Amino acid sequence: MAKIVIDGVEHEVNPDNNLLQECLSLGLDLPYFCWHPSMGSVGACRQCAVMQYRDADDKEGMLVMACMTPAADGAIISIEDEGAKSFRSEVIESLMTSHPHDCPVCEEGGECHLQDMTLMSGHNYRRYDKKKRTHRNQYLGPFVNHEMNRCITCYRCVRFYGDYAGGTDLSAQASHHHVYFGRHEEGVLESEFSGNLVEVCPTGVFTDKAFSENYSRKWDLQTAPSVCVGCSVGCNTSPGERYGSLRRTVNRYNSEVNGYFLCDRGRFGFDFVNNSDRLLEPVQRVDNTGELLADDQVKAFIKEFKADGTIGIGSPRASNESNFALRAMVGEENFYAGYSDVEHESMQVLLDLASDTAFHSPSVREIEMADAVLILGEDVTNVAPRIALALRQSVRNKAKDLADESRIPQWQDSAVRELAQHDLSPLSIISSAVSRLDDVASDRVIESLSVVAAMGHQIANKISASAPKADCSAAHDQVIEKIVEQLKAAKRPLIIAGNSNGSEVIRAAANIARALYDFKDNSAIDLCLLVPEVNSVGMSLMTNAKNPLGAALKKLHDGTAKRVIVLENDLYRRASRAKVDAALTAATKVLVLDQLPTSTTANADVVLPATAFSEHEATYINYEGRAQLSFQVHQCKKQAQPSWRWLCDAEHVDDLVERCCNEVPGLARLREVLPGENPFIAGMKVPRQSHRYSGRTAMTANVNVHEPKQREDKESVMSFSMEGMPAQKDASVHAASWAPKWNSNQSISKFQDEVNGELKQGHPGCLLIERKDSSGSYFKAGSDSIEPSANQLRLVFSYQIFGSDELSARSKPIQARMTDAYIGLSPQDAQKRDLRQGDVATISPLGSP
Amino acid sequence: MVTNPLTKNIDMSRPPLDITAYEANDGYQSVHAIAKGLSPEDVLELVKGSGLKGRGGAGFPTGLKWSFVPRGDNSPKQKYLVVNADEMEPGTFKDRLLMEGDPHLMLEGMIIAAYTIQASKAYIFLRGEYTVSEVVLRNAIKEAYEKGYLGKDILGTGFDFDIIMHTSAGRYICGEETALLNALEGKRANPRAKPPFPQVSGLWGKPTIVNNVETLCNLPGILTYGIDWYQGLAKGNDHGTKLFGVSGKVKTPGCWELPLGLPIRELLEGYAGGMQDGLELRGFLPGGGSTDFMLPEHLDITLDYDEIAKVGSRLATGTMIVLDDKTCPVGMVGNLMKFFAHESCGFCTPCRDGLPWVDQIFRDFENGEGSEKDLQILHDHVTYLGPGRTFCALAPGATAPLGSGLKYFKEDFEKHITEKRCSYKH
Amino acid sequence: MVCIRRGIKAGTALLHCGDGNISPADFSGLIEVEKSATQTTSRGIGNLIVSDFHEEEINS
Repeated sequence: MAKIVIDGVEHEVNPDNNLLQECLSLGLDLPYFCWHPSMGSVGACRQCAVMQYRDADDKEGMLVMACMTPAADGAIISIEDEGAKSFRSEVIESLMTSHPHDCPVCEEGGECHLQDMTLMSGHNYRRYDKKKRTHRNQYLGPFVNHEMNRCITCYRCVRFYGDYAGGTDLSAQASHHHVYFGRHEEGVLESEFSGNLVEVCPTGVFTDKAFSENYSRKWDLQTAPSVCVGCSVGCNTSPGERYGSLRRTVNRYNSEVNGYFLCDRGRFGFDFVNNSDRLLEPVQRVDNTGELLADDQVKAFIKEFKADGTIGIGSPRASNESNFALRAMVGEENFYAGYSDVEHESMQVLLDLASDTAFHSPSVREIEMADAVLILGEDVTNVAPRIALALRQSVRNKAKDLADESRIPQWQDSAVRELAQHDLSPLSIISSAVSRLDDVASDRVIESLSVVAAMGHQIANKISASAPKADCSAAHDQVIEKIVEQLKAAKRPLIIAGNSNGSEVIRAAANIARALYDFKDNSAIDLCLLVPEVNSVGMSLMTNAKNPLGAALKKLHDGTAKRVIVLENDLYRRASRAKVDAALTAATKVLVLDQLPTSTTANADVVLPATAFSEHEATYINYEGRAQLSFQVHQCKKQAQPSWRWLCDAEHVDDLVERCCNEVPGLARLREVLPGENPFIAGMKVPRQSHRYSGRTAMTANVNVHEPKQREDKESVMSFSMEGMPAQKDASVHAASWAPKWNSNQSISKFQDEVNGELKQGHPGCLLIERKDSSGSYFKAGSDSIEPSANQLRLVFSYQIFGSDELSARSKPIQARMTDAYIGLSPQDAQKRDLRQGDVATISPLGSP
Repeated sequence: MVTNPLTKNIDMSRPPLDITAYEANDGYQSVHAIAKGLSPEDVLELVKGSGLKGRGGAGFPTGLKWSFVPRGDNSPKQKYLVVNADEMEPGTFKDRLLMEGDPHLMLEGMIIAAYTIQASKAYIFLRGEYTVSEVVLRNAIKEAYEKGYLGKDILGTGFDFDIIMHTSAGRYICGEETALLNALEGKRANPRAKPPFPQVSGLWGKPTIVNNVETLCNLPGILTYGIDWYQGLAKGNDHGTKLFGVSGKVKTPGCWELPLGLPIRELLEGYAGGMQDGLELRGFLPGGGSTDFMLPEHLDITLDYDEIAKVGSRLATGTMIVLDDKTCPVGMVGNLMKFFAHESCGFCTPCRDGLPWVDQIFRDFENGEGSEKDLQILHDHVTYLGPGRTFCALAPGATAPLGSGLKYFKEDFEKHITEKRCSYKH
Repeated sequence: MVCIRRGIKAGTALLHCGDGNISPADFSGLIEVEKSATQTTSRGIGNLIVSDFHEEEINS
């Protein structure tokens, strides 16, 4: 630790950081623009100027930029010095010369970092009376608006988009005050992380286009801490609602999971909650028309389903509570998995591996620390996008080591990048198709699925002879040797695989990790196994290994089970059409609970409307085994209810959480995600609405002029009102970030232990999985008997960030980015079949699915 | 005894000497001296001992600059020498004279410098508009390769050295050494923060020395004729000879090699022939567009880095721009501000947004729309754009003519405001 | 729809099911692909961003 003096007060600081980081971590108000906690300093904006003194006798001092000055022991600085203050005010004056008077109509207003810093600087009078420079805007796609007149040239956008996220189609152009940030030509921004521009831009240049359709000021939005349901990473979000519709989603800082960034699927994929075809009323299908059901009728149905002979099919996209409620209702032995049988099999492998102390399931933050990565078979960018972003940071660990050797501080981002040039930590990808991470991969092998797995086994065997060999052509010997050496030499190697194409690749990956475990003398190896959905892990912990979906369908078909309850699931995505049709036709009664109509709800006898993720409190378990709590953001519409409420008598989500803890072995610690008992001041609730929330009574005045009764939230510690105390001490109940003088998302620094660090008393979720022993053994290398003959092709499923996830694919902005279903072929195979780019083809499955 | 080492081969009425003629006049003797048994450390001591200072404008001791390059087995193997031939400082044309007039002198200097820092590759970053220099240099490089002064194992020293010529697409900021490195790498020509210095992380992250053309041209003389000779060339604190130039309405504008330490009067009234008939000297920028005005009362000050600094200006490049009494000082400063505003790279706020404001104010003054308020804003910007407040020295350089112009030509600015016109216009 | 990509090994077919009528559960292992009689599409594959999109030579 170092000691520095700031305005006469001594502070202990970390000398590896710069002065700006330390001042902000200490809670001091020092303005800045171009510095970003995840992107380091460049010293461009000059906003963070402070006066530095050589020693106690130096009365004059020298202006330095806090973000570019190390917090060295003995430093004496002043933020309040008049010279520094007036300089900072002049910087704002410069930025304002061409800034348009857009505040009243600018979407950033109310959460605008430029507004905040302008006020903080004291500049308030325009002397500039010359012509302003203006720009033309570009069409950048359905997600992000472009309004360049507002630009203050902080360079954050291109640094995030290009340096951090690896995007290539956004650049800085021109010079002096004509600097322009845009695309080489108009068109959709290609990066999967383009949406973060709206949060990274400190003014209103890049704003949320989907939000613009139905805009609302930040202070008018009702928010609550939530979890994205788009994939199994479980990024933390803060959705905002107004007038009953979900308007937008912003990042909610979680030091272990998403940090400061989301992917575009999570940011723009919530709109399905607002769909006009939401299921909102209990309906019974009679002769192909739906008849509304009254409360007592529904109760009667539920009672019917409680009888013997009912089975339940769970859902990897439904919450733990809903899955559990169904399981409790039908009994554990009658609760079946809600994913495909292939996935079920792979999940069993995964669950076995989860209890093995040889492995550690790394958090996103830990993935950034890996110094040698092998991806086996999975397209990370499309399956778990946020992890792909983390991998792009992990390959920079080599650069960080080089910087350390040359004594360049880590936060001096440009210098670190310059020194390392293209020298990256190794990232090897062995899979069946080109991926969006290839540009940072040190080695890239494209092979058929069976060879991918075989290579995995070979790598494992070369690391530890105890691992089984596999038949693998010598063509890949060299790259295998290279990868083996890299993994062995790494301080923190990482193996990534997933179950989108069965479990053989997972077995190979596990073998590699186990081989490394043996090699490295028993220190747990990072093994990241990806699953597709937000609660695949949660549901799998509740499902008996002997209860795959196929068995459920069989039981219904042959009459062993008479009734089935399908929880938030479209079975036609999980099993073959023929089998699902047969099962549902054979069943005497089919009850389906869901949010949106699906092929399954179309074949149900009774459909009960379920609430969407933002309309109920829920817990989900991510790929790591991290349980996270998602609060209800807004009231559900009409008669939709959380599924568990239809199925059981529990009053509170907490009750179900408690039961999960007691009755499901893997969920014993689930209760730890609930907010603490009394962190709240004087028993007041945490408001979902800001203290500036407006229009409460005017909102409904067109229906009824009488002031509506304040809606009560009996469920949680939050209230559907402005009343209460925003959680200062318990960051787990902290949604939209705000602090006095800091209206924008930059205010998050007030809630962190230190910038980019943990939230003060934050709950980054709770790691549930307890590893017991490492008695596991190597998997046998499977022999893939499926080899395509002449006209046949081996199928590999290809995920897409836009379109593969069921719910987000029904959001309008996402649909604007989706493609048709397609079959990707090599040029030779296409030519053989006389197929051209863009032709329509028919695919026929071979063998029994 | 040679008294004009920089220009002894130059005669602009004929093409530059070819390599044979160059060699005949003591050319490439330093390379032979190295081959006979000078180590890089020996050469470094010689250069340090000579007291040679950089001629690009900053005046930093060259030997000291070279000594920061890491040596030994632990240092990166690849090191670079980069020649800053991007002469864009307004009023400066000395490097052009050297390159067009005697290209081999620069090449010989490059070999010495590269050998000392053990750089196996050098890039000449040449201003794109210097088309004659490009042709002449390419030819000289070809000749040097043919004679074995470039390439592998030069004269049996075991030292490999290749020179690559790069012509710039043209921006003033590329003359800033770190922006030059970025431009050479194909990036935007933004400067870099220092530390780390180019000696540690320069071109492509490798140890790099960036030297000015004239600086390199001093080296052959030092190694060929020795330190004592070099220090005997000038009388004052600074050593060696320098190219001095004069432009403006003088009788004989031009560029001459003179020992450091002569009085300014000798340059202006002697070599430059004094003001043209009918004109009086009003003031002058002693070292190019980024230096403070000096006045006729300063004519007896010597051409010496420290002496000129004492009156608040800089010798910098040593090429003077002369202001006569029939040229509007406001217009002259405005012309410079227009240049600097346009050449701002746009990285840091004060330069990017401040210089265009200053430029617009000068345009208003030209149009008779100058105001007291705007005059005050000009004054504010002199402090606002000072050193340390911006990312590089471009804007602080711009404040030199601005600040000194506002101080010395106050009445002219006032007249523009009160008369609502430029009284110098005919 | 067909998308020809250079980065796929011969013998492998990449299937993206989208939100259409194709269920991944209907397939596993091997498939056959042939040109469809009808060539109607809705969205097309214009939104696909891949670096190995095979540019076909235009035969006149």
